[in-house]
Amino acid sequence: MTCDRLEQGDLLGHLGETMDPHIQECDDCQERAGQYSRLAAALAQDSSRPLPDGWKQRTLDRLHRERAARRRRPALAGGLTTAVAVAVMVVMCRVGDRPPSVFAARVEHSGGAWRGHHRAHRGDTWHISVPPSSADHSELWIYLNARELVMRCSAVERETPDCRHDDGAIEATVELRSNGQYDAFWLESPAPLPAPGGRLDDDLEAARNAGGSRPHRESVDVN
Amino acid sequence: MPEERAVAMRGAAPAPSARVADGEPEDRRIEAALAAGDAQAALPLLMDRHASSVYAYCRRMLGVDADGDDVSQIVFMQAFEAIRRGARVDKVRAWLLGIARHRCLDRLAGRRRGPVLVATEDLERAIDADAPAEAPALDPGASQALDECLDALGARSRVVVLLRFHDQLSYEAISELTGDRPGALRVRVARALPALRGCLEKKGRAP
Repeated sequence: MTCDRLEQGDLLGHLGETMDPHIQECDDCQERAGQYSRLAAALAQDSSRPLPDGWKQRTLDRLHRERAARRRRPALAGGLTTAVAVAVMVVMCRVGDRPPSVFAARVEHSGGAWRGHHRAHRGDTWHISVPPSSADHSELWIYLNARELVMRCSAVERETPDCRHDDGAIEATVELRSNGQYDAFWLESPAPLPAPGGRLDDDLEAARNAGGSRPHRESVDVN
Repeated sequence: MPEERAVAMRGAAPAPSARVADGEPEDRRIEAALAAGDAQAALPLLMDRHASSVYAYCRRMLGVDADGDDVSQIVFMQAFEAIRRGARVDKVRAWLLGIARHRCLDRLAGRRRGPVLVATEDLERAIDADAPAEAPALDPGASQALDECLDALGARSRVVVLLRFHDQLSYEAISELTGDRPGALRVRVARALPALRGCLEKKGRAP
């Protein structure tokens, strides 16, 4: 079959819009056009694929875990809030001039001199803890220099070694591999948050537009 | 084109009317559970009836088994919460696939970490209007070949092709979801379709 004219010019026209007159008169083009029509029809059909082993039970178990966590949240939130408040007071005593946050972050130093809770060396590790939220959606977004999304961690997404959650609380670990400022934002929202694209200002604006509350923030400078 | 290939691509599934008839009692139970706002009763019924479609959709959109597994679970968890909060659902399958579409786009945007922002919607809002009607499934061999060829496309091309031809969204509607211009989306589709056709031909599954 030799009808390149269809693919070079009027394939989409054939699939629903204007049509090059040549294509209507050319047998090769007509045959190829038929192929694309059948391809479009095949794409419109449902895929058939068996569910992975245990999918239904795993989904039900996950749902039950999430719901149980939400029921326990008020009590847990009280306990965790107290613990976090104590941690914040300690940080304030050590640092003195930084406003308190309601979630906690600490630097685990890899061997260099201790530089404070908000300064680190490359190779250090940053641990961030987010308490259970009373909002339906709670997420942790971590950026480098306000223009690179390092991590998105939520209480319902699949866990990874660096992004864990338990009973609605989130625990994240970030290897500080680059010089610059790392910022962690805890966002809460009654509606699903839009996926962050990696530009801090745009992402926070989109989150606000989606109903997200003013985010809590923790930062660390790496050099 | 040999006739057997055409038949394979068109699908050897039962006629739509037979499928609907088979599913009627199940659909009626689902409708009753939804009307009562009984999420506990509705969830297993929804899973039995629609989970394989939702999983297959997510797997096809995302191109990775594990992501399809994970995101399809999230779809049903969110559906459960929406039913519990009294969401009004007219077309169940379309509603579930609408949730799946948004969650898949979220996952892809997160994976890509690129400049594309995906607008998510409140799940209680009905998504019925912009999802396609139920179509018969392809036979497994043709479906697998198509999956493999879609996987071979780049993620962005694959998603646009599926949003256009499976979900039957206009380029303007896709543009609102992905942030890409309609003209750019058309170009992407026009390049992807010949690649898909060539891939299927190589597999002996020419459309």
